[in-house]
Amino acid sequence: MNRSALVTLTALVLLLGGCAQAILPSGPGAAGGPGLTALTVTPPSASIPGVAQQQFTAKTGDGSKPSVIWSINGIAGGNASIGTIAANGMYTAPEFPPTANSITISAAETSNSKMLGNASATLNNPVPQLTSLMPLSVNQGPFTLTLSGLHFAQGAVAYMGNVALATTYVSSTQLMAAGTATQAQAGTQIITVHNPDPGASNSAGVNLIVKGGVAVLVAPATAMVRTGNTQAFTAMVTGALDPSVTWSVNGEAGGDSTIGTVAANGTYTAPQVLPTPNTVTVTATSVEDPTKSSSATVTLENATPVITSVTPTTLTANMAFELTVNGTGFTPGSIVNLGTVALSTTFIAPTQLIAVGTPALAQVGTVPVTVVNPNPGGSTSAPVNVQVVGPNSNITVTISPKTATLGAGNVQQFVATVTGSIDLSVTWSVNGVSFGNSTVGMIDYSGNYTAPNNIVGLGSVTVTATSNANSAKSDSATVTLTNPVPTLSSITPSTVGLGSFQITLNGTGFVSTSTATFGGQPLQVTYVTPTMITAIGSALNTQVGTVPIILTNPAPGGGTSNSVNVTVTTAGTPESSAAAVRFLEEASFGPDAENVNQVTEIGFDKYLQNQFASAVTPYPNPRTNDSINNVQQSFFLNAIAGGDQLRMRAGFALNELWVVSANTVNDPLGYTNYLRALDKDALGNYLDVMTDVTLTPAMGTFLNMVNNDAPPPGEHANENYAREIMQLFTLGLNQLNPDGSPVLDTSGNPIPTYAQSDVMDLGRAFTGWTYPVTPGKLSQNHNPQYYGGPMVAVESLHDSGQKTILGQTIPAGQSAEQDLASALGIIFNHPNVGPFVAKQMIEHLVTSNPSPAYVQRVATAFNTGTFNSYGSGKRGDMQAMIAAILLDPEARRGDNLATVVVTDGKLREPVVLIASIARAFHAKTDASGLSNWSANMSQDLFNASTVFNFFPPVNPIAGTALNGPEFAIFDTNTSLARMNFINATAYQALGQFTTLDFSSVIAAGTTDQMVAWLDALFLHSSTPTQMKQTILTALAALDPADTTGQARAAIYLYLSSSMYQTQH
Amino acid sequence: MTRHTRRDLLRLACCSAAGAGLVGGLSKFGLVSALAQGTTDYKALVCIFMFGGNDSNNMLVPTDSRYTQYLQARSVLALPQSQLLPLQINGQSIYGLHPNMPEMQAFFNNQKSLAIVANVGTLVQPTTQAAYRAFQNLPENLFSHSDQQDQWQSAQLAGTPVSGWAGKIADNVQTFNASAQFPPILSISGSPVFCTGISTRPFSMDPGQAPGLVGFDSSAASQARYAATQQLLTFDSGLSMVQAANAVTGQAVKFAQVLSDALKNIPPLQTQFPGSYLGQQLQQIAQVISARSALGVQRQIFFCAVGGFDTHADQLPQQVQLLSDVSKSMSSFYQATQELGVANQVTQFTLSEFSRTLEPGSSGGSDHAWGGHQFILGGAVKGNAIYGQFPTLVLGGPNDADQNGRFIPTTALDQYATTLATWFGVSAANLPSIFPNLVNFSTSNLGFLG
Repeated sequence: MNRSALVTLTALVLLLGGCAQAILPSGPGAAGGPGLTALTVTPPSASIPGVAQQQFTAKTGDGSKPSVIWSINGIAGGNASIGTIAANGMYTAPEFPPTANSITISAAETSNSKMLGNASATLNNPVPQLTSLMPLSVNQGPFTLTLSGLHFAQGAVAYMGNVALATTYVSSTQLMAAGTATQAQAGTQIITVHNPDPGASNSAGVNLIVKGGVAVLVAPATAMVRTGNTQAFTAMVTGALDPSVTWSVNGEAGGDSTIGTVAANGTYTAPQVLPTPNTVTVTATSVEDPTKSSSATVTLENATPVITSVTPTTLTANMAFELTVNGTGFTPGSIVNLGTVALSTTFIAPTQLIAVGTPALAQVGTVPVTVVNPNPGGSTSAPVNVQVVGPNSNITVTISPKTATLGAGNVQQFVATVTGSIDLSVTWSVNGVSFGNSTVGMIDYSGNYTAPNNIVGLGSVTVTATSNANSAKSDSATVTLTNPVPTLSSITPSTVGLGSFQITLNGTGFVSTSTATFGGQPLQVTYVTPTMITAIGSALNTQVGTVPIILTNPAPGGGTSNSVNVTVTTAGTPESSAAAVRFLEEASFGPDAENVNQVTEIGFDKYLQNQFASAVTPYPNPRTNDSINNVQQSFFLNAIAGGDQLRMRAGFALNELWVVSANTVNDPLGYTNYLRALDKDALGNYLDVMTDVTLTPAMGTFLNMVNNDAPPPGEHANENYAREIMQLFTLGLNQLNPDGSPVLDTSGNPIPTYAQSDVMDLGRAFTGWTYPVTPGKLSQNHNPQYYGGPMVAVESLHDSGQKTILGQTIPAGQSAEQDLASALGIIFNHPNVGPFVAKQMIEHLVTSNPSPAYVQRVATAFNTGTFNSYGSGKRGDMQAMIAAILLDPEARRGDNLATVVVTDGKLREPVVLIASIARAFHAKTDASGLSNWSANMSQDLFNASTVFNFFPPVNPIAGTALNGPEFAIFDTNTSLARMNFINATAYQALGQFTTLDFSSVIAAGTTDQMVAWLDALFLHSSTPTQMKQTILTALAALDPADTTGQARAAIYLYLSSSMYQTQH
Repeated sequence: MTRHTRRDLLRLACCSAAGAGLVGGLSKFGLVSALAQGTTDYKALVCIFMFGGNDSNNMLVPTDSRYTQYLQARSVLALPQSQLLPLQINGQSIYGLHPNMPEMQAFFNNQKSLAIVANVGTLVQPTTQAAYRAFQNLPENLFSHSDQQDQWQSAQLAGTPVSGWAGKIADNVQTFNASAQFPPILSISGSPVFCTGISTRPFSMDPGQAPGLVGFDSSAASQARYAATQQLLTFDSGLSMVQAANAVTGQAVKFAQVLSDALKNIPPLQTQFPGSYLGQQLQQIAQVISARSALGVQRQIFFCAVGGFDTHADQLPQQVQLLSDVSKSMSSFYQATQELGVANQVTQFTLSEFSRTLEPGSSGGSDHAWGGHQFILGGAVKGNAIYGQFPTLVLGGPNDADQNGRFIPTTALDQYATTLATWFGVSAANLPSIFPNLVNFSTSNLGFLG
């Protein structure tokens, strides 16, 4: 507040002593004494602050302005203490008035010094000018200021507001002032300087900040902003030297994408999506005093949606669609409308919505698509049109492949891809005939086309897939029906003895009408697949030596294969038919008349040598849409028709030892590759089995070795594979003697093979493996599930610390591969492996209750890698072990009735039971549905419920002292299922495409002869008389002319009997 | 140790449906006694075996201050405290059930028909940490599925068992079943050793349909073949394996007919069961119980099983399914016993070969451990209580066999099973012949059955 000071100007006449020439004026306003002519000086009086100027003017009586000489208090031109006056009458006051502050200003005409005039003036203090403070801010409480400026007078007082400060005069340009700032004064205070009388006056104010008084004010205080839009805010800061602020949204500096962001300049950008709640607070906080802030409330509303594009642009009436709407301003809760119909809408991003719905028939035509944003701020976009077309009018059907060339009986899978309809199904036809017929070929619901047997004259047929939703929409493929030229790659066995034989031809280009010759004599051929055919023939004494086999495909196309020789031999040690049957029950998936003849002719050793030399029966690569059912089917097909029976039988035993359940690994390729590993190594070395199976992604998935990473603190490595590979696949729980009996401690207790610490360290050794890289994908630490090769190591996820397993140390610092090899090597060389594996393989192939001596003989073959002439001499040799199992006296006792031991043998397992029956009756089959039968009998091929297989190696038979693994799946339920399976065998069919050939039974002749035929092949001529009599009595109840009925009844009674259900 | 897949069941149902009518027509096998059997003294035990080793650490969780210990040790496998279903005992709640077992929570809190036994497992004798680490008198082959399954089923803690404790209990209560037309034990899940006694043999079937022979009709030729089939089953070949197979098949042919006839006129249950394999098994058991008069049995033991508990990897989502199934299926079965008026006479109980490591394994699962918690549900159960001692959930803590949270049981399987056997009618004198290690424990009856 300014304080005004009144200055009273008093006109005084001052008589001043002066120089000799000067005459003192005699009175105010008018100069001159008697006899003088006066000049009039205006203003006659003035009050003049320090350093101010005042113009004086002197005039004569007639108003003219003569040239005058000016003097102050009689002193021409004045001086510094009384002020100076210029020739033009401009007076400049001294900064501070002299003690006598009334002065006389005189003018004397230059040309007539008698002409005088006077004026009087009062000199005042100057107006103070305050230019700066030091410091500019003070804390509350006592303070001292240095004030700088101009024109401070002695006695000048500094004020803070209207409070006088204790002021010390330092100079006209500097004052010192002291005071005490109160809390109430916090904020901006104004400092002024007050000069005292005469002419008291105040300076302009300068701000002094009294700290603790910062205030911030944000404007505007409220705002409404749509999502994605901006609003500028300003912050006014008072009471602070630093006017800067920091901005925040809901207390978060700078805000974020959920609640919106605010820039350093106060520009708030609303989020893309409305938050909950939809009001946010934008706050500016003083940098200088962060406790001071001010906020504005922002109410957010949804943006106005804008559509830029919609895909697809054509929809089909009555058919569900998914519409992608691109644009801006979308929000959760945005609804896409198709016409007036609100669609089920999914918010993807503020720029994208996905909507699903089904257009009605009534909507056919051009329909606008709009987006409606919800409240608050709800609004609707401008429309974008889509076309709705009539139902099923834009269906497309695409068949693949478009062309195929097939020979007679060959199968091609066609895939029909349907778009534009909810109903993706098609009806298949061949040359316009739904599902085809035997003339043009058949096609099933899955698109598997089977060429007819007679393709002569057909040329080509058209396979058509027709949409079931719109029969006008279809696509076709052309199948050229011409037989390829077949090639033969191998024949199994490649050596046969005299008389009837069955061989399996492997190669390519086989057709259902292929014929084959053996030294020019026709063979009885059964087509299995384009790569496998079985043939039955007979070798004559005159053919001893090499005999060429040639396969011929008839026209159209067709041709003759290369020739592959079979050796006809009379070498070998003949065996009885009964011995041959028993041997084949153990060494194959079951005897048939021809193989029985062969073993009878060439003996066991030659049979084994043939088998060990046989090519692997391959598994086909799974097709598109294949399931585990197809792999089961391939297994049965190979087991029934494949030539390398022993390898496959041993491989199946390994499949039940190294269990991978397709319940978990439900992947046809994964399961096929695992089966291929088993078959590859079944006649190789057990260490290869261990290594190859361990690295299959199938086993990795089943027992969690895949992606088993080095454990972080607070976790331990997954123990699953580590435990089960030792417990179930290699060692067993207890230390074993070489004969398989447990090693006992002094108290008679078994001694564990390994401790929990072994399991945990082995689990660590197995860390750092993942799936192989899916083709076309980048390698990752955890590759996505892919089964097309062995697992791969990821060293960074391997626990490379030291491990102790079974008393042996694996040093620290090894790679995942090195640790795996070390660990498997330690296990493989443990003395348990030989007897453990030997006993289980014996149980799978021969008998449930081998003597310790038998086990030890086989274990020795395993350990030495040698048995008789068999084996490589390397530990773990599978051929040596298998030969030792099959040729052991304990396996062979019972080959004649005199050597039967009543506790020998085993219950047939369902899978082998089915394959055996199919083989015995020369099944023509695609093997579809056979696994259903084994599943009914509690052996759902490949689908064991756990790693413990369908049945355990040790399973006491209730009420006996005997072991019977297969009895674990033999109960009141499954025993009936077995009998009902035999009912289907004898009276119905095992599958739509499976036929059994009973002609040999019927052709046997009388019921006695039928029974004799069954006795020889199924019970190695050991049927007790009472059993035969019981069966003959039942057959006698049938019409004697009904030989087929007799054969069926005989087959039922034979195969359903426990005599046949067990193998002995 | 085996179980049928759901696919099997569907197939079997189809096959059997076709055959049932044919066999039913054979008067020769219409052996069902018309004996009017009073069933007031009826009792049944129903075993639900969770194969694979149920991680009961997440089935029953302390919700008081011990939850912190649980959280620390369980790490990635810990269930959020807020999701656990509180169990109320005397107005207090210090335990919660797995969030997917609300039915069990209701039975525990409201009907008070559910009891829980904590940390029960295979024990030769009371076992301390020091005794474990010195290998003193431990069950053989701890942590092995097959061995621990056998031991839980047989109460024989060494060697390979030839009989099970349910089978032996059935042997011991023969007097109650003097008029029975049907075996005292029925398994809906294979023929585990649990069900085999010294003399008792179980009847096994799949859920859905009574089994039976197919392919016979009333023609003379067919009848002749049927007669031959039967004769072949009784004929002594002298071969051990053949005899063993004949014994089973002979029982199958005989009792399948009895069961088929007994079920013929039984109205279907009104209670709805889950469509799961376990639910279907329990539904089948309830249906057989409804035919108890026709079967002439006063004491019955049932076995059913559910697999998939071997959760070495990705455990949390699997447990949601597994425990939800157990809870819903057991709940439906209890309701069915109410419908049949035998809720106080039928007791369900769970078994599982072991619980799992409290410490997680490296692939989001857990590994084989030892003691675990089991459920007993029924009208006769003194529910709303947790029996036994809950372990200290600290790795390497007082109950831990080692460092990974494999808890040494504080209650023995023998005590658990004895409590069930005693309620069922086995005399105290006969208990040691069934439970050889019972003498090593001061308490033989845990008291959870009235």
